[in-house]
Amino acid sequence: MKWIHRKIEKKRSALDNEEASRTRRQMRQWYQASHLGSLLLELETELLNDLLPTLFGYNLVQIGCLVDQNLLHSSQIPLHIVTIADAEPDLNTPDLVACPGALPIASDSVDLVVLHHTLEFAQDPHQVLREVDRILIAEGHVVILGFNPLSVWGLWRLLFRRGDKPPWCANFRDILRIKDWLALMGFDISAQHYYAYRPPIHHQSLTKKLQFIERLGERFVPRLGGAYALVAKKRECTLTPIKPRWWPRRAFVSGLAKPATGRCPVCKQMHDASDVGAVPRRDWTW
Amino acid sequence: MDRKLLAILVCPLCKGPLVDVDDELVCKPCRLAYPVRDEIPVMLEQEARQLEPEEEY
Repeated sequence: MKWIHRKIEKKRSALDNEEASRTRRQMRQWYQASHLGSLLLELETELLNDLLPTLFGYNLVQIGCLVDQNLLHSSQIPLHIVTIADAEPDLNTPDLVACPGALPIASDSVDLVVLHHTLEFAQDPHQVLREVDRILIAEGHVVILGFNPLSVWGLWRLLFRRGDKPPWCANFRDILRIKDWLALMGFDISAQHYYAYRPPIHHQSLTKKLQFIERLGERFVPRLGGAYALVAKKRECTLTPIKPRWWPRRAFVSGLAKPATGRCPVCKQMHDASDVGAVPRRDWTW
Repeated sequence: MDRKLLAILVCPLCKGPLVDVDDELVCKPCRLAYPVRDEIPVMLEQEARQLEPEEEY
C-alpha cells in the first residue's frame, strides 16, 4: 500500500503552481498549433454556440482560458468576464487574472459560469467547484467541458501515454464523478453532451475521412465521446416561515364530533394535538 | 476598467469590498493592494502589495 500512497503524493506534488502554469501554456500551444487541437476547438465552439444562446442572465464568467478565440460570442448575456490564472498573460483577451480556487467575484452575482477544461488542470478541483457554487446565483447555470476517460481518447491516453504532452497530461475525470460532486453541492444536471468520437490521430486527411464516425458515435455509442459538456443548474432551498397561530382553529363543519384533543376537561382551554403531552395523563381520565 | 466588472469584484481572500485607488484595488481588512495592469486587475495574493502601516484609504 505504501507505494500507492507514495505515487499519489508524487502526483499531487507534481501539480504545483509552476507545473500547472506550464501545462496550461502547453495546452494553449496545442490548441493553436496542432491539427487535433483545432479540430477539438471547432467541435467545442460548435457545441457552445448551440448551448449558450439558451442560457440567460446579466453576468457570465469563463474560468480558465486555453484558447485565443472567444468561445462566448454566441451568448446573449451582456457582461462576459474571462479569467486566467497566470500572472503573465500571453493571451489577447483576458478580463481578470485570478486563481480559480480563490475567485475575486462577489457571492451570488453570476448567472452563468463556463469551465473550459479547468477542472483537469486545477490543483484542487473541489475548491474550484465550491467557488463556482459561491459566485452563482440561485438557478444559475454552470457549463463544464472535460475529457472523457471512458472513450477512445481515454484508451489512447492509457496505451500511448507520452509523458506530459498535451492533452494527455490532463487529469481525465469521469462524468459520473463530476456529476456526483455537483449533486453533493445541490446542483441539478440539466443536460449532457458528448463530442469528439474520432480517434485522436494527427493525420489530417485521415481525420477528415473519419468524419462519419462522429455521426455513428452519436447514434450508437453516445457515451463514448472523447470529451463531454455538462450543464448543471444551482438549486437552493429557501426557508418556509411558519406563522404563529393567534387564535384556535375553528371547525367549519358543524354537527361532527370534536376530536378528543380539542378542549381540555381540566383547564377548559383549547389545545393542539401537539400539546397533549403537556397535560398529565391522569387529568384526561376524568 | 469596466465599471460593471468593478461592481462585482471583491477581495479573493476575505471576499470583502475593494477601493479603487490609482491603478490599484485596495482591500482594507487584508491591507493588500492588488495591481491593475493594462486595465486588467491582477487579483493574486502573491502579486499584491502589502500596505504600509501609515497608508490609510
